[in-house]
Amino acid sequence: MSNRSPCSNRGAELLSLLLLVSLLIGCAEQPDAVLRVGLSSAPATLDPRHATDAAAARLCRLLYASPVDFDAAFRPQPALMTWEMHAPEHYVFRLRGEAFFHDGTPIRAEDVAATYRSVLDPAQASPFRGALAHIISLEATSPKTLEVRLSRPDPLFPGLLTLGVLPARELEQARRTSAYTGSGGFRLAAEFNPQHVQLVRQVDGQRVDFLVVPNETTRALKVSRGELDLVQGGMSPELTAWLSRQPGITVRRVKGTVYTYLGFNLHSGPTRDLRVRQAIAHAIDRDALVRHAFKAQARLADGVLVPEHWAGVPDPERLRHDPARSRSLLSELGYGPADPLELTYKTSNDFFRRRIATILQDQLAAVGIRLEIRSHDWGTFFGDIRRGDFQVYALSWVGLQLPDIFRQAFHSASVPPTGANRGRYASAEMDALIEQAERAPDEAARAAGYRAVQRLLGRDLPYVSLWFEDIVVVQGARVVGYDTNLNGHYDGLLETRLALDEHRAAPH
Amino acid sequence: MLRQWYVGVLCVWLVLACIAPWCMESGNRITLENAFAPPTAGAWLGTDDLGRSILLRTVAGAAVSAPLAAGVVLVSLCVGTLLGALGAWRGGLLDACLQRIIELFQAFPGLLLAIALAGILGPGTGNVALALCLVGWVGFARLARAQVASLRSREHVLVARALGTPDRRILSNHILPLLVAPLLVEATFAFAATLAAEAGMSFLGLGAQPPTAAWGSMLREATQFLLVAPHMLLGPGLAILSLVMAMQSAGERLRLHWQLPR
Repeated sequence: MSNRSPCSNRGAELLSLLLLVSLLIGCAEQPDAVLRVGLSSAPATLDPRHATDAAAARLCRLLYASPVDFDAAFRPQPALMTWEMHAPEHYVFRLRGEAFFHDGTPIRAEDVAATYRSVLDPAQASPFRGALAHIISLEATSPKTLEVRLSRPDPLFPGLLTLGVLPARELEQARRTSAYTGSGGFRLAAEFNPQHVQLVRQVDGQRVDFLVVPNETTRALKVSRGELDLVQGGMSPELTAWLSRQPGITVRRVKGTVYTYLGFNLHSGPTRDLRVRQAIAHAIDRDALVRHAFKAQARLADGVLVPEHWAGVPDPERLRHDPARSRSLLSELGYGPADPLELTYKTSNDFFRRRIATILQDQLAAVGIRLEIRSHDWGTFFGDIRRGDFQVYALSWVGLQLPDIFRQAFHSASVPPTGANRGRYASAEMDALIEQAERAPDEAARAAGYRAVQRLLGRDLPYVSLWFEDIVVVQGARVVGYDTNLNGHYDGLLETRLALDEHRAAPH
Repeated sequence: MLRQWYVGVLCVWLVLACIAPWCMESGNRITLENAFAPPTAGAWLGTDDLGRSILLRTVAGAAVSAPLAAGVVLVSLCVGTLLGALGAWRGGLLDACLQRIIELFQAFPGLLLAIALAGILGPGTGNVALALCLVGWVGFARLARAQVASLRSREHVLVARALGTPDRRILSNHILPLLVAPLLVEATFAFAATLAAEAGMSFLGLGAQPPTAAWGSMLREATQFLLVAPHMLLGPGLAILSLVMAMQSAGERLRLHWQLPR
C-alpha cells in the first residue's frame, strides 16, 4: 500500500503539468528572421574565378561586385567601372565613386587587375581563362584606372569583365580558399558549407540561408510547410502547379534565357545530310511539348538568343510542325516503313530530360524515324558529346549573354576542346559571317551581322531550337518584395524583406 | 488454402508474363492529353505523365523483369554450382583460389557492385542482366561448395570412389541429386532478390531504356509525381511487392518441405 499523501500526489501532477506546458512552449515554432532559400544542387565554390555551376555563379554575384554587368537587353553596363574604347584592342576602365570590400578596405584598380591576372594564370586553371585569353596586359595605371590591351580587336570585351573582384592582397598570399573577402551586397555569415550557405545582407544584417534540398518533391513539401521561404527553378511544372494550389504559396513565372536545343552530328552518320535534319525538325511538335511537358512554362525558341537580346532576332521564321514534309524528305532519301531511318539519341539520366526524350521518340516514330534513347550519367553523357560520339542529343545553354556564343558553338575553329562546336559544323559562309559580325564598327552593324548568322543557322540546322525555359519562383507567405530577372539571378534578395509580424515561420 | 496464396499469385504473374508482349505496344502509346488521369472503370490504374495506361505498362513490365530475373538466376545457378562443386571436390589450390574470389565478391555489397558494373557497361537490360550474373553466381557457388564438401565424405560417395567410379559419374549420379533441394530453395530466394535488384537498377536509370516499361523505371517516374499523381505508384509497386513476396514465400515453403536449415 502506498503511504504517500494526497498532497504529494497533487504536487507530482502539478509538476507534470508544468513540464508538459513548458515542453509545448518549447516545441512551438518561434518566428525567426532568417530567409531560407532552397537550392537543388550545392555550389561547388564561392570563388568567382571557378564558379561555373548555376548555384555558385548566382551566390558569387551576391558576394562580389563585378566591374561590368548587363542590362535587360544584355548590353554591357558599368557596375564598379566605366570604360572607354581607345581602340578595339585597347580599353581603359575607371572605378566609379568609392567602393569597399566587406573588411572596409577600398576597392582599387589593382584589385581588378590582380583578379583577372589570376584568372589568366594557368596554375589557377580557371574555366574562364579561355574567354579572356586574348588579354595581353592588365595594368593599374592609378588607384582608379585600369588599362587593358588585347591581342585582337574585341568590341564585346567589356562584357567579359563580369567576374567578381577579389582583394589583391589575398590573391598575393596565394592561399587556396573557397571564399574570399567579398564586396557585394551580401557577406558570408559563417564558414562556407556547400550544403548550407549562410549570408548576411550588408545594409541591414538580414540573414539569408541557402539550403540544398536535391529532391524536388522534398523541396516542394518544405516550401509548403514553411521550412523554405523561396525556391527558384529546378521544379517540374506539375509540382509548381501543385504548389500554386497550397495556401500561402505564390508561384510566379518570369521569361528565362535557358536555351534548349537538339544537336546533330554533322561530321558522320545520317545527320550529316541536311534533309535528315530538316525531316527531324519538321517532325517535332514543339507546341505540344511546351503545352504538355512544360505546362506552358516555356516559350518556343527560334534562335540561340532570346528575342529581347540586342543581337536577337525579334521576329524569327518559325519552324513548322509538318509531318507530311518530314515523310516526303525521308522518302526522297530512300527511307520508308520497310527501311526506316534509325538514330541514337543521347541524353542525361535526369528524369525530365528522359521524359522529353520519350515524347520526341514518339513524335519521330509517327513519321517513321526510329529513335533509340541512351541515357547516361552526366559525366559519361557530356564526355560523349564533347568527343563527338553521338548522332542526336539534347542540351541546354545556360546564362547566354554575349553573342560570342556563335563563335564558340558554330565556328569551324571551335571544335572541342578549343570551343563548343560539338556537332563539328563546318561552313565557310558561317565562319565569314561570324568574323564579319565581330569586326562590325558599331552595335547596329554587329546586331545585323549576328542576325545574319542566326538566319544561316536556321537554314543549315546544326541545332534544332526547342525552347527557352521560364524561371519559376515559388515563395512562401513571409517573403515580400522578391523579384528576379531573365537570368534567374538572386539580385532580388537585396530588396526582399520578411513579413514576420503577419506570418509565423514553419506554422505546421 | 490461404496459406498457399503465393501459388495463385505466381500463376497470375505467369499468365500475365505470357500475354505481356502483346501489351507492350499499347502500353507505350503516348496521349499527352490524358496525362495523370486517375484510376477509373475504363483505366483501372489510371495513366502516367505521358498519358500511357499504367495497367498495360505494369503487365508489359512483367515481360522485362520476370524473364530477366529467371535468366540471371539460371545462369548464376549453373555457373555457381559448377564452380562451387568443382572447387570442393578437387580441393587444393583450385578450392583456395575459388574461396578467395568468393570472399572478394562477398566483401563488397552485391547490389552496389552490380550498379557499378552496369554503370561501366552502359544502360540497357542486357548489361543489367550481365552485371547481375557477375555477382549472382557467388551465393550458389558458396552453397554448392559447402554441400559438396559435406557430401564427399558420405559413405555412399566413399564406396563409389573405392569401387573406382569416375569423378564425373560420382558428381552427376551421387552428389548433384542431393544438391537439388537446397539449390532450388536458394534459386527461389535469388529470383526474388534479382527481381528487386533489377527494379533498383531500372529505378536508377540503368535498366530498360524508354519507352520500354520496366517496374523500376515506372516507380522512378511515379516518385517524381508523388504529390500530383500518387496512383502512379500502385501498379509497379504492387507488381514488385506481390512477386517478391510470393517467391520468398514459395522458397520458405520449399525449405520447410525439405527440412533444410535456414
